[in-house]
Amino acid sequence: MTAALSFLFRALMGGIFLLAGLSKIADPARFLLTLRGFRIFPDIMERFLAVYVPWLELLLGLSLVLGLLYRASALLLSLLNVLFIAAILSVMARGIEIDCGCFGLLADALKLPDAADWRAVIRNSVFIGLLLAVYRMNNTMLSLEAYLRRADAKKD
Amino acid sequence: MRSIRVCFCWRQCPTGRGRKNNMKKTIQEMIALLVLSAVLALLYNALSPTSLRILPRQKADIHSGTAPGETQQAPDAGEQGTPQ
Repeated sequence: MTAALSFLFRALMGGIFLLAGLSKIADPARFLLTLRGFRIFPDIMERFLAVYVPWLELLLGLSLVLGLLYRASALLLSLLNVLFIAAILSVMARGIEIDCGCFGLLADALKLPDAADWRAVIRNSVFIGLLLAVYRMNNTMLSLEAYLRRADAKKD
Repeated sequence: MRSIRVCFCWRQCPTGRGRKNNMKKTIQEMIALLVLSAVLALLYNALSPTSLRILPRQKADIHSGTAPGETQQAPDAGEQGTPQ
């Protein structure tokens, strides 16, 4: 039961971050403009993050879907979501109304709510909960890591 | 070849040492993922036609009359698709 639940959370979170990363990689200039809207980082940092964050999301999402280093990925993604929440709360506190840029082009295509508001904070908090559950759960299904471990044990 | 066994979850580790090793391993994996994604991002950005210029252009600052380090407020012309 725990294994199935862990797999479900892993697949859901991995899929979401995989797609979010891909949609941002497809249009890095748009994500850069979104980052500028937050008015938190200096220019060079914004440029680096516009290139780096989508790839981080893509790799961590892929790692969760495949079940390879998934516990480290779940922990990193929950930390990333804590930073996203802090950034959203920061713009909310300053009264800036912007898109959070969470889903890039995907938000337009699927008409997803993408504003940096309470809904984004609640959504990211739910993500953190699911990711921490993946981190804490012992067993999971259909994981490449478990498969490699079994293969290693057979060899011994 | 003999492989080193590390328990994957702290609940399965009987001793505090195992738990410590486990956390150390998770941190190492996290650092590996962070570094790997940085390498992939920079590599893709260097090769992609829709790349972003990460380092600011010093020459452009001189021609536009702004001091080095001073940011320009004009929109990012040539931000996308700049030939490398």
